[in-house]
Order: sequence, then structure tokens, then C-alpha cells
Amino acid sequence: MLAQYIGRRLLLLIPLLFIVSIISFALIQLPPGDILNMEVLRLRSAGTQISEEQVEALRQLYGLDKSMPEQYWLWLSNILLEGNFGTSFTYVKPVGEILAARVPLTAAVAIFTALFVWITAVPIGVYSATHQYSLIDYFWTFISFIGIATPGFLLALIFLWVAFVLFDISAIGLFSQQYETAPWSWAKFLDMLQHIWVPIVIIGMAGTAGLMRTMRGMMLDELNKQYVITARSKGLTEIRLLVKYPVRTSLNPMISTIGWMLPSIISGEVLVSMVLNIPTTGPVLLQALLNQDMFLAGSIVFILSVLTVIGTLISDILLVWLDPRIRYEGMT
Amino acid sequence: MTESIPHNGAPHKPEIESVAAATASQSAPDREKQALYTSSQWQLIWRRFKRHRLAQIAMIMLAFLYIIAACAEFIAPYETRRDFKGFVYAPPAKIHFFDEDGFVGPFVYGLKGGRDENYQRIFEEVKEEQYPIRFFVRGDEYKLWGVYKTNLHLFGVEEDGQIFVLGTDRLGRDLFSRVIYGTRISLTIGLVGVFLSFVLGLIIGGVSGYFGGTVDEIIQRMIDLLVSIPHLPLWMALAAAVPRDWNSIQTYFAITIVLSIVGWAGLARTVRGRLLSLREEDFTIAARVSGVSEWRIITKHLLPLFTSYIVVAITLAVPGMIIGETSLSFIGLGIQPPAVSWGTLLQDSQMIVNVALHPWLLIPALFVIVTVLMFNFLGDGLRDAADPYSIS
Amino acid sequence: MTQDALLEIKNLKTYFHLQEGIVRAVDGVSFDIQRGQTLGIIGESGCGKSVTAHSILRLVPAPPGNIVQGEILLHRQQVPWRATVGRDNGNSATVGRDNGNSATVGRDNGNSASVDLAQLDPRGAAIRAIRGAEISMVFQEPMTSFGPMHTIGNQIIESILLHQAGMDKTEARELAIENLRKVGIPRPTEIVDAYPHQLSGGMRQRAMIAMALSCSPRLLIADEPTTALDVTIQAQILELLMALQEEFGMAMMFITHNLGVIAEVADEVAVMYLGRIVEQASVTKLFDNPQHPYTQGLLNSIPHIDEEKLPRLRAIEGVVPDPYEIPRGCAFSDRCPSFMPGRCDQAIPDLVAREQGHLVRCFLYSEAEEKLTRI
Repeated sequence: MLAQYIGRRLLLLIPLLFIVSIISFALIQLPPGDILNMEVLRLRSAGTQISEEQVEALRQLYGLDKSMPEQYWLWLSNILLEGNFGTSFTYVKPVGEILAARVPLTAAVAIFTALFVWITAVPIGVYSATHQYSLIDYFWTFISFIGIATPGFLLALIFLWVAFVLFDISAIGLFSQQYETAPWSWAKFLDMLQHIWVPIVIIGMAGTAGLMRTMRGMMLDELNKQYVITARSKGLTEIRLLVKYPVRTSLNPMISTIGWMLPSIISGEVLVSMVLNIPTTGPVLLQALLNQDMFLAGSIVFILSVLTVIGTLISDILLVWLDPRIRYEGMT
Repeated sequence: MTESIPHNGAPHKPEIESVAAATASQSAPDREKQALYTSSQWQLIWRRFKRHRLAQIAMIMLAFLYIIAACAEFIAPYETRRDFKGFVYAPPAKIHFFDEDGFVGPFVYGLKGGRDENYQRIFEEVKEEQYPIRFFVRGDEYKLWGVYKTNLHLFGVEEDGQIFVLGTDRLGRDLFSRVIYGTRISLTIGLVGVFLSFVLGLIIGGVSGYFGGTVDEIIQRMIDLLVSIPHLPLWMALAAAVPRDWNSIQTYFAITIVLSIVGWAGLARTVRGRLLSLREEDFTIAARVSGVSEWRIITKHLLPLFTSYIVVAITLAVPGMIIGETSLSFIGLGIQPPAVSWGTLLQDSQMIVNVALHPWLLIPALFVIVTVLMFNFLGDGLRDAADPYSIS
Repeated sequence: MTQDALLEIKNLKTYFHLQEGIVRAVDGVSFDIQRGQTLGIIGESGCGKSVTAHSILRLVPAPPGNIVQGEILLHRQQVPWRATVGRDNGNSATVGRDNGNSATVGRDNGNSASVDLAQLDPRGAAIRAIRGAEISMVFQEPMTSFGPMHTIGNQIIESILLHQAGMDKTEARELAIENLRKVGIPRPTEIVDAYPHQLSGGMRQRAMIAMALSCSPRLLIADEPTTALDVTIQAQILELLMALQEEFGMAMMFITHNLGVIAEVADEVAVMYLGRIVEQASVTKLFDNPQHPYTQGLLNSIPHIDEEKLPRLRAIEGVVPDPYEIPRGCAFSDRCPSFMPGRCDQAIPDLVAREQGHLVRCFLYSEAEEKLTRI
């Protein structure tokens, strides 16, 4: 049953990714003017000599002389068959090479943020619900309103300002100086963990705030249900019955919130990484867009979307796996 | 029948129907209750909304902000591009009420800029120069709403003094005036963006519903997809394609369109879900079974609820648009100077050293946060008020 | 008061302190439940019958609910009294009995140790040891009485393991299956692993009863256990409950608003109206000779098929008043056909014995009769 469901979802994934690829390719084609012409202009103004033959050779190399659908097919098949995302004009390097180090970091920040959001929001939500209208409940309500209303990059700015004024730290980054260019090692990983909490907390703030409210609301609904009283009438301790029944039931709809949480985490990550100077895909995306380096930009949009879609799929499968009500019936 | 066991926070009150019946039969009915049971749906919504203190405050504050946006030229003491030479990065003005001789009303001292021993910019108040703050003073000339040519400003100081309520930026421009002008773009882009999204959603939803079948299915999957991929990268890519040589108004609409092209799906899905569930509600079926005509069901029962749900959905969608514009403008892909929005004002704080030395550059962020907060409060209040089953 | 009372409630008052005011959900209720007998409690919605039941197990949510006065005495005998339970592991019967004794009220009542449940900490170990073990409860809503995320078996076994130390999981599972079989669930070895949503309402209620009986309680509180079920299923469940009561030899407190149901199951009946008992008698006396105008009204409002000339059904005038606006004097006075101005709206009548074992709270009788107020 579950395998069947996963199979069906994976099948549905194919047209989804197809559409994402079309959107990304459309973005690449979007800027006015021919990408190559602009590049040639740029190179010439920089004093590089390029003959018309060379331009034509480049045009053929990038497939720019072909029709739109052909170009799209070329672009997609290169990605699928060779993992070749095209070449960045500004870096003069294959896009894949530029992103190789950054995509895993983006994924890591996103996953850690999602975990952080869950680990903090669930207990706070449960506490707020079981202590409704208490001082601490009001405190978290206040925090959650601020969290929902403040975009991540503003939080990052405020954080940087406070860090600078109080601790004279001017850049956060993801690594200490000595590790910045060093190859990956255990020590570098540990160093990263020491830095990564800042973007995680900042990006996760909005999600935590939202999820905390959701969890509180779900719990308040569940707490008044008959089965909680049944459990209490059996003589269970309060904490045990809370965890086993209402919390467990509330968690399910929470898993489905990953669907909206992941896109907003990835969105938030782009700007927060830029402000905090974290070497993920976000800052590169902005630079690529400002330079109209469209192969690079389109690839990043494509990769980020694919990451999100896959993340959402995983959360959906997790939901089905965890909820017996869905597991046994109506898996639509 | 369920017995009433009052629970934490949400006491069930099944007695409520019985009270209704009782009051109807009693000889001296309670006037207030009588009014409650006979009031129209909008009256009920308004009644519930009035109990939402926060939502009411939010509504008043938002109305206030929109009035500011409408009268920006009048409220701001200076024009946005007016740069005061020698007043680069001046701190927010200290407004005094007392001088050595006692109370004299609000005034500011003159400012004298200089550099300290570390070559940092500093400003000193010149005690000899007092500039009383006056209301309705003459200043920079402008055309209010493009019609009335005037130079009247809500407040200001005499021409040879300056008042920088929130300080100045790197070109010596008055931040307060720029924030006030920025209100115009930042607040309207949310409304216009949501309106465009709504129209887009209506058209696409209409097409979807009209053709049904495969078209409907494809459009629904598109909506699902658009909702589930991150918006900001898409916004950024689309905004980057807006030509740089467009003028402010063209850019404004281009950014609005960019925001709504991506944003309509979320709104469409919320509204669609609400409408579908409403169609299946017991009261709709009850009305149909009682022989009420479809037309009457739609106009009397569904439309008021549709409208209230749509108003709620729209209210809650505005903050996303405002944050979108702010984000895009912050990174330089949105509104382009010389146009001012809260996002473009925050561009100056990209360099953290700037912020550290001139923290008032972050003040526009406060406006963003408060506005978004107010829209959320208002939306929450409206949602509770629009819910026909809500307690109280 | 007989000597063999299992549960003795004296002047219980449970109030809810809400923003709108104080709701006196239970306002001075007293009754006994005899060992092995069934007390039926009947009344309209909001009369306080469920709150009374919840008060016994201290399940009333606090805040806003609160037992402000009264005693709820659970009388245990020194030698744990057991009917012959058709069960192999006899040792299980006594386990979990002693835990509650720390809170025993020093009251000499024959040779039984007693505990005042009203004095226990609603979250404490003492009441938890009683819940589900000595006193268990079956609720109205079979659809929501089980947590949706765990199997029926898991939830029954949980209860068994909680109260019967020394039992391991396999034994508990055996017992759970055994109990499911006893309540008439087909294929209990499969159903034990089913999730609640896979069972019908009737099956779920049976499973609920199996869970309530899993630790052989002395008292089963059934709070409208058949209200949400189809009529045919209702009858099955009632029969099942009565059969099990005999088998397990337990006492039962049966709450319902259905007079037909109460006539079938109860030995003794208490009629409640707005937080107070208005009439209490044995089931035959109450049905043959109702005294209180409210009881008479209730009985008149149900059809009798056996009567030759079908009289017109008479409904009780008006509705149950708003709990914040209870009439002065007798709470029923504003709906009472025998309303006596100047008396009924001035003071609250006492609950007096009209005859031996027949208590009525009404001014129609209180003067003539010898005052035999309980408490």
C-alpha cells in the first residue's frame, strides 16, 4: 500500500519536474536581448578581441542558433544526461562546478532549519496550549507575532547590528577564517556547526513562529477531545497521556506544514545568506541576476525548486507513513 | 444530546438555542438579545469584529498609514531628493521643549557637522541657533494629488534651519520624509499586487471551472506547483528581467505584476478551498432541500460568506506582497531610485558598518514590521468575525 | 443508608468559574451506590449528571471547574471483595488496590477502608491508581473515545499494564483479547490490532467497555454509553453491560437522558435538574408513582404503547434556563405546572423522604411529611 503510494507520487513527480524545468528555462530566456551579444559587448568593452567567426562559433557552441524548443531540449538533456548545467559567463566556469560546493550547503542549512523549527515549535506549542492564557503563553504569542511579521533578512540585519555593537563582529559567515578555503575535514565541519546556528535561527524564526501557533491551535482542539479524557480516566500520568495522545495526533497535520515551510525556508535562505555572507546558492543567485548570467541564475532557480519539491514529497510520504488513518484508506 | 461540560477556554454552550427560544417566548424579552437574534450577517460580523481589540487597533493604524501615504507630500517636511550639503548621516533630531530660560515649546537646535579625532563624522548642536517647530509652514513646492500646487507642509522649521526627525542618509537626505514617501509605494504595492493576483486567480479559476476536466486538472496541478516552489528566487529572476531604463511608474507596475504572477496561486487555492467547502455545508444543502431557489441560495447564503472569506484571504495575502517588494527592493532588483520605498531605503543598511555607525538607517524596517503585523492582526480579527460558527 | 455502600457522595458541589459567572453544575448532590447494584441518573442536557460522574474520577477540568464542597467516599473492604471472575490469573485482582490507601480518611466504617476522592489531588498518584482500576468509565462518544493514532489493543494493554504490576506485555495482550471476546467482538485476535477508525460505532463502544473492564473495576461509570448508537445496537450494548455487571459483580452508575434505558438497567434512579437531585427512588417506585412535577413531566412526555387510549403527549413547558439565570427558589419553578407563587420562588425545597426510600425535593410534599432531610 505504502510502496504503491510512493510509486504513484514518484510518477507524479516527473511532470512536476518537467514544468519546473520549463519555468527555469523560460527565466533563462527572459532578459531582453541575446545573452551572447551582451557577453560579446562586455568582452569587447573590456578590450578583448573577438572576431565574428569566434562569435558564431560560440553561438553554435551554446546552441543559440537553434529554435527555442531545440535549445530547451539541448539544455535539459545536457543536465539530465551529463549533469551539465551550461557555462556561466561571469565566472567563465561550468555552472555545475560553481554550485557543487554551494548546493549541499543550501540543502544543509534548509534541513537544519526545518529541524530547528520543529524542535522548538512543537514543545512551545504544546506548552502554550496546556498553559493557555498564562504569562508564558502570552510571551510566546508575542514572540510568534513578531516572528511572523519580520522577514528573515531584516532579522539578519538587526542581528548583525547587535553583534557588531556588542561584540565587534562584522561578518558572520559560515566558517572561521582559517577554514574558509580549506578542504573539508572534521575540524572544518565542527567549525561550521559553530557558525551555522545563526542563519538557522534567523531563517527558522518565521517558520517557528507560524508552526508554534499551528501546534498550539491543534493542541487546543485535541485537548478537549473525548479520547484525552478517556486516557485520563485510565489513570495515565498527565505527561504520558499528553505525549501519547494529543501531541501525537497534532503532529500529523504539522508534518503537512512542511509543504509550505520548505519553500519559505529556501526563500528566506536566499536573502539571509546574502546579508550574513554565507556561501550558499543565495548570494550567487543575486550576483548572477544582477549580471544577467542567466544560465547560472536559471540553474539555481531550477535546483532550488527541485530541492523543495523533493522535500515536500518526502514530507508527504512521511505523513502517510505516520498516520494510520491515511495509511489504511483513502490515500489520494 | 451532549451534556455541557465547560472546558478550558472554550466552554460549550448548547444552551444557546434554548435561550433563543426562551427569549422569543418570554413576555419581556431582553432587548439586546432580541437584537442579536434578528441582526443581519454583516451586523453579526461587525459585532464579532468589534470584540477583537487588536484587530480594531490594527485597522485604525492601517487607516492612519494609508492617510499618510495619500498625503505624503504634505506630511513630509522635505522633498525626497532634497540633499542637505554638510548634513550627511546626521542623527535623528533631538526635539527640545525647554531651553535655559524654561519652557518655550518644541524646537530644535541648529546642527554643526565635523569630524572627531578618529575622523568619524560627528554633529553638535549649536545652542545659539533655536528653530521652533511650526505647523503648516511653507517649504518645498509640490502638487498635491497632481492637482493643487502648494508649498504648505504639516510641520517644519524656518528655511535656514533643518529638522531631520529620523536623521539623514548618505547623501544628506531627510530619512523621515523618505519613509513617508516610501509609505506610498510600499503600502499600495501590497494592495495592487493582491488585487492583480485576485483578478488573475478569478480569470484562471474561471477558465478552469468553465472547461473543467483535464484543463481544470492541469490548472490545479499548476497551482499546486506554484505554491510549493520557493517564491523569492522566482520573484528575483522575473524582477531581474525588468529593463533598467523603464521609468518609476513602469517599474512599479512591472514589480507588481511580477509579485502577482507568482503570488496568485496561493490566494487562488485558499479561496477555492473555502468556496468548495462552503458549497457542501449543511446549511446550503438544507436550503436546497427546503426548496430555496439556487439564485437565492447564492445571493442570500453563499455570497455574503464568499465575500467575507475573500476579504479575509486578501487581507492575509497583503503582508506577503509587502515583504516581497521590500525584499526585492532591498537587493536592488525591485523599485529603482529615485523612486522610494521602504525596501530601497533599507539598501543603505546592506553594509553593516553603515548600520553600526548610523543605526537610524534601520528605522524603515520598523515600518515594515509594524505594517505586516497590523495586516496580520486585522486578518485574524476578520477571519474570526467572518466565521459563522465562532463562539461569542 | 445501607451498610454495603461502595460509593457514598455527600453534598457534592462542583462549580465552574467562568467569565460570564459561576455555573453551579452540581449543587449539593448526595447519593450512595451499593455494591453490585446500578444507580441510574437521569436528566436533561446540562443538569449536571455528567459533571457528577466526572467529579467522582476528578476529571473535571480545573480551572475553570472545581469541587467546592462535599465528600466522595469510596468504601473498600479490608478483604478485597471480588465476585468470581472467570479469569485464570487471580493475582491480578488485588494488584493496584493498595496504592490509593495513603489518602484514606480515618473513618471507621465497619471493616472497610475508605478514601475521600474529593480530597485527592486530581493529578496525583492516588487518584490515578483508582482511575481505570477501581473505578472506570465508559463515555458517550464511541467515535472519539479512542485515540486515533494507536491500535485498540495498544490502548487496552496500556491500561492493563498501568494497573496490574507483574503482568508482562504478552499476558496483557492475552487479557485484552480475552476481554474483547467477552464483550462480543468477533475475531478478537485481529481486532486487537485494528485502529479505531476501522471499527463501527457499536464495535468501538464494545471495545471501550472491554477497556473499562480490563482491570475488573468495583464501579463502572457509564456516561450515556448508548446515546450515540443505533437503537438495535443500543439494546445489544445494554444487555452486554448488564451481563458483564453480573459476571464481574461490579456496581454501575448509569447516566442517561433516556427513560426507557434507565427503566431497563437501573435498580435505583436519581432524577437531576439543574445541579440538584429532585427525586430519588427505586426504579419501580419512580416509574409507578412519580412524585416530583418534573419527573411526572418527563414520564408524560414519552409515549406508552400499551395504553388503550393514547393520551396526548405532554411536553414540559419552556426550556432549561440559562445556567447563569437560574430562577430564584426552586429551579424548576418557572416551568412547573404546580407552581405555588410566594413559596416555590422564595426558597429551595429540601430533599425529603416521601416514604421509605423515596426522596422528593418539592414543596408539595415537604410540609405534610416529616422532615427527613438527608445530610
